[in-house]
Order: sequence, then structure tokens, then C-alpha cells
Amino acid sequence: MNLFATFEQSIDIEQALAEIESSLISRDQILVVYMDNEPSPEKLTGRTREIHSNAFEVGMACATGSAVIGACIGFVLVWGPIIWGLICVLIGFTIGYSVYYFLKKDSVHTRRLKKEPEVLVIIQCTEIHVHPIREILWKYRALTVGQTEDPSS
Amino acid sequence: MINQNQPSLYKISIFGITHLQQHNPIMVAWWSAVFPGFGHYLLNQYLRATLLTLSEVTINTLAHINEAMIYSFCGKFEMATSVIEPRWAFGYLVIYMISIWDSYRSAVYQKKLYHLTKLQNITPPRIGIFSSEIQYLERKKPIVGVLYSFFFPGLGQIYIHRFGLAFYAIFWWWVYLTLSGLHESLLSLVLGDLHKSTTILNPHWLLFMPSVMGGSIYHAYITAVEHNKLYRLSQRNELTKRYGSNKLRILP
Repeated sequence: MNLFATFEQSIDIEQALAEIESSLISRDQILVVYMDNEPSPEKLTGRTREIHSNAFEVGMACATGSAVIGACIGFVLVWGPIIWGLICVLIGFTIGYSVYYFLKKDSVHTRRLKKEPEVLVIIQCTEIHVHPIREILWKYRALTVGQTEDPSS
Repeated sequence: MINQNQPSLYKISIFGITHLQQHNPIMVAWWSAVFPGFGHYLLNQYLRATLLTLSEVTINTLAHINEAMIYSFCGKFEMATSVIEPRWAFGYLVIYMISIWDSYRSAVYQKKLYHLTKLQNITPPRIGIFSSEIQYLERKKPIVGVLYSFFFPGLGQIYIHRFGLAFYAIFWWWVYLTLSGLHESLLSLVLGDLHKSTTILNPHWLLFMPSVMGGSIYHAYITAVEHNKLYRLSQRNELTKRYGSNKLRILP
């Protein structure tokens, strides 16, 4: 039998593999394949391939700068430095975030899954092991699990 | 010949994870302009960054830079000129400009180091156990770091395991809170006394606070993002080495 499971990358997958390997089957019956994302578009220069995350960075940078200016001018305005500081944070963040977002938005087509199948695990085992292995896979938060019949039968 | 000292992208020490990363140099320079030293924190050059921040607070206070800034932004240029202390201001300016330039230059170079080191593809273990600490790489939620630092700057650094920097930031935030009177002022504001809330604020110490909070949020956010990248890279290397080349019979 072949079992197939997809996981998000986390410590859980290592726990699952270690548990299967220590009690049920040997290491050479397991194959692990890391799945790549579609490469980041050239135009999306930044820390991640996630446009909102990069835009957040720019927004924070602008918000901080404008907060300082807002607090300064707040000393001569009616509402005082705290309220003007906060108003300027919002203005600065919105400007920074949207400038980045609207400049880069055409370069990405966003269809992000909430949890991505980053790893594919293939396990070859005999029929009696299928059930316990499936249990372990689910216990350690496998995203999806599938199986095929024994090739020789 | 195998070089024992092959560089890797990160090193786990008692103080946390120190790592190379690819910054946009302009962004690093910008954070140095916001608060000298912050750019170097982003580059993981923690010691020189800390010394730069100490120098910034001291000389800024002696030269009355923050007061001069407030007067300038309010258009009172004569007041700004009279409040500033020339004995300290010129030196302050030189250090300020050079720290921006130095962090920019370092970011450009570290970008190259990152590229070079990544091609070597050596990833050390993800855990370090020391006599008084346990440090490890872990998948993080960057937004949690943001919230922590928003509520009290420094807490975001605890979230990303950089506890030395965390308590340095927490200590200074208490100093700023005490000397600026921000919390008292907030209280007056909530109670509706607008005039009192402005007059009890100390402008000099208040003006450090937006930069420190912004910097702490930004640092926590990008460090969490980078830790996630390192985690994925390291786990991938490790498990591919262990399970990546087994020959299974998949097709009938």
C-alpha cells in the first residue's frame, strides 16, 4: 500500500515521521518531497512573495515618520500631540500601504490558500500498518491524506 | 578540503538567533534616520546598534534636538535656533548622517553575503540548549509580534526570542513613559481635559516614543518573517537529506 499525505511545514511533520519510523516501519519506506511555490514575480521586489506583507512594511515605515511629525505639530493644534500623532499614524500607514499595493498589484495574481501543502509525504507499508499510520498522520495535522492499493496485487 | 568554518545563514546563541537577510538598503537607511541604531538592529548588529541608540538619546538630550524639531515643524524657526545647543548639535549631526550611511552600506554588503551564503546551503541545527537558556527556530505569526510590540515596545522582541533587546527596550519605554508623562496625559484626555493633557506632556521625551514603538513593531515583524524563512529552509534540508532519496515503488 502507498499512503500519501500533505502537510504545512511545522514541527508536527517531524513528530509524525519520527513516530511512524520508531514504531511501525523503517526509514527507507518513507519519501518526503518539498513542494515549491510558483516563483515570485520579478516585479514584486520585497521580503516575501506576499504583497500585503510587503505593503505592511512600507506602511509601518511611513506611519512612524508621520507620527513624529504629527506629535510635533500637535503641540500647537487644539487636539494636542497624542490625537494628532494617532491621526498621522493612520494617514501615514494608509499612504505607505496603498502606494506599495497599487504600484505592485498588477504583478501578482493573488490566490493564496490559508494553509499551503508545502510537503508531500509518501509512505509504503503493508495493509496492517495503514490504519495506525493514518491515525498518526491526522494526529499531527496532515492537511490531506490519500492511498493507493498495493502495486503487486 | 572541507572548511570547518563554512558560513551559514544563521547561528543560534544564548541571546537568540542571529542571521543574515536581504533588506532593501533604503528601508534600513530610513530606520537609521528614524532613530540612529535602528538600522543596525535590523542588520542584526546588536552591539553597535545598542551603543548608537545610547549615544542618540544622550546627545539628543544635551543638544535639545527634539525641542528644535518641534519648533521647526510648527514653523517657529527662531525658537528652534535659540533652543539648540551648538556645542553638541554639530557632532550629533555628523553621527546621525554617518550612521544612516553606514547602515545603508552594510545592508548592501549583507545582501551579497546572504546570496553567497545561501548558495552554500548549509543549515545548522534549529535548536540550541545552553545552561541558562533554550533557543530555537520556530514558525511564528508575524502579526503576533506586531501586537505585542504595539501594547508595550519590547514585548515583540520577547516573542522572537531576542530577550536581551526586549528588556533593553522595555527599560527605555518605562523611562520614556515616566519622563514624558504620556500615561497621565492619556488619562486626562480620556477624562476630557484636553488642555491639561497637552500641558503635562514633556515634548523632549515624548518625541522619542513614536520612533521607538514603530521600530520595535517593524523589527518584531520582519524578524518573525525571516525566522519562518530560515525554519522552512532548514527543515527542508534536513528532511530531504533523511527521506528525500528513498526509492519507493509507487506505480503498479
